[in-house]
Amino acid sequence: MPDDAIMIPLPGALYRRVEAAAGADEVPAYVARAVREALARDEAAAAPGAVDEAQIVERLRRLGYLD
Amino acid sequence: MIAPHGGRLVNRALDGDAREEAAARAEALPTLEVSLEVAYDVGNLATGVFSPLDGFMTREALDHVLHRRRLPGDQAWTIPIVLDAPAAALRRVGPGGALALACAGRRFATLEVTDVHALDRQTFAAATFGTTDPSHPGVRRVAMMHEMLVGGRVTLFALPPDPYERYHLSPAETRVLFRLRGWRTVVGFQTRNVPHLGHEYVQKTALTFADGLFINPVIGPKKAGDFKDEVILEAYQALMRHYFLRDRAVLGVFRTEMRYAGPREAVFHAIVRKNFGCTHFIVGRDHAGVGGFYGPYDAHAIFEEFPDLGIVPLFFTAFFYCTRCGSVENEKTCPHDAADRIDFSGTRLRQALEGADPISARLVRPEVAEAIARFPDPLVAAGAPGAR
Ligand SMILES: [Zn+2]
Repeated sequence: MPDDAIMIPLPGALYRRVEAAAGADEVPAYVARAVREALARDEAAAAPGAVDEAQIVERLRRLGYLD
Repeated sequence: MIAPHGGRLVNRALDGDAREEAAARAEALPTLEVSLEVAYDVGNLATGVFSPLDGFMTREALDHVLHRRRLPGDQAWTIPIVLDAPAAALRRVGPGGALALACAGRRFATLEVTDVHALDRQTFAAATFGTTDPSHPGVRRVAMMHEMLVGGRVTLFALPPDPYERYHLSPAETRVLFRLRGWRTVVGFQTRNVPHLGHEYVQKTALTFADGLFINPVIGPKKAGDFKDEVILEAYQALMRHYFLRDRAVLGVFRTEMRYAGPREAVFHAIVRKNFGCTHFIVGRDHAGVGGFYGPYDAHAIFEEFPDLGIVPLFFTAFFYCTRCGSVENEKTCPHDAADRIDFSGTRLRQALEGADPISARLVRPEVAEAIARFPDPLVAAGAPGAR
């Protein structure tokens, strides 16, 4: 295991695939980085339509959760 | 902000014109009458509380969850979210069809039917609860379910009336709230009880290392002898008013039923709080347990199976009041003997609430005891509607 090995949470399938390839339960930093970037791209692509934040804030105020 | 489970917050709740149109379309569909608990779980599915689930589990999803503790998409998931129905009610319904769901005679959602499958009670109970013993409340509940399960995506157009609406926040709302409060780390606290000093100790210990605390009681059917929902909420209001900083703690309800599935339910509880925007989740001794069905720390051990969960579990051991330390302590912090320790047992709690015994009285904040005392019958009675 290289010195820069870090552990990050990965989706299960990916985690196990990487784990099997590396033969360890830790993932090297460069793999983690690549996976993180890929996930961020997927997430951005899958982002839902904008939530109506003004409406949410109005309800939170009305219920006393926000001043 | 922490990503929801599966990466995206599900939103299947309609608004405005779309809501009216869906309600009108539902009139023409075969209608399935469901219980209030099922209705609230439809609400949970539609508003992202159960992300990435957007509907009731198909046979494939259920098999994955029961046998692998994961969804077909490989995300961790430990509790079946299913819709049961009598075979007779499904005669006109098949895959590709649609159903209207009604509660107390009022249509509130539609379901696009993916499949209809038979409930295998033995497998369901054995996998979920680790037992088929009928003295387990979850096993009893499965025995009473209808014989068929319907899988498919839901669309919500009207939530049933909710007496606790004032405490009911969706994940989209808690996420905005946490962000506006400037919280980068948020600890979720699951409860089905009124708060005593031990709970407060756990909450404040966790809060010491996080920006905010989300107290999230489960509101819904419980077993006889548990505190009633309105009592839990009033007791927490009293605690938070007098013992928490207003900008460090939030109280909101999680409307669902307790399953009493111990370790599996602990993971489920963590996933739900991740969807609400929590980064950390408190897992106590015998979390979501009942009777002696689970080992005291089984609900801690199960998290080792889920290194990819995304929300960080905070494990707490049993806590007690130590008369020599003069404070709430736990097995890791107090060196004294059992004789010096007062457990937060049900009996002690009742004595504390009755104010009968001065030592017990120190286990519950007086303002909390007062709030509970305002209710003539604070406990769920055996045989009460909804009691498990
Ligand atoms: Zn001590």
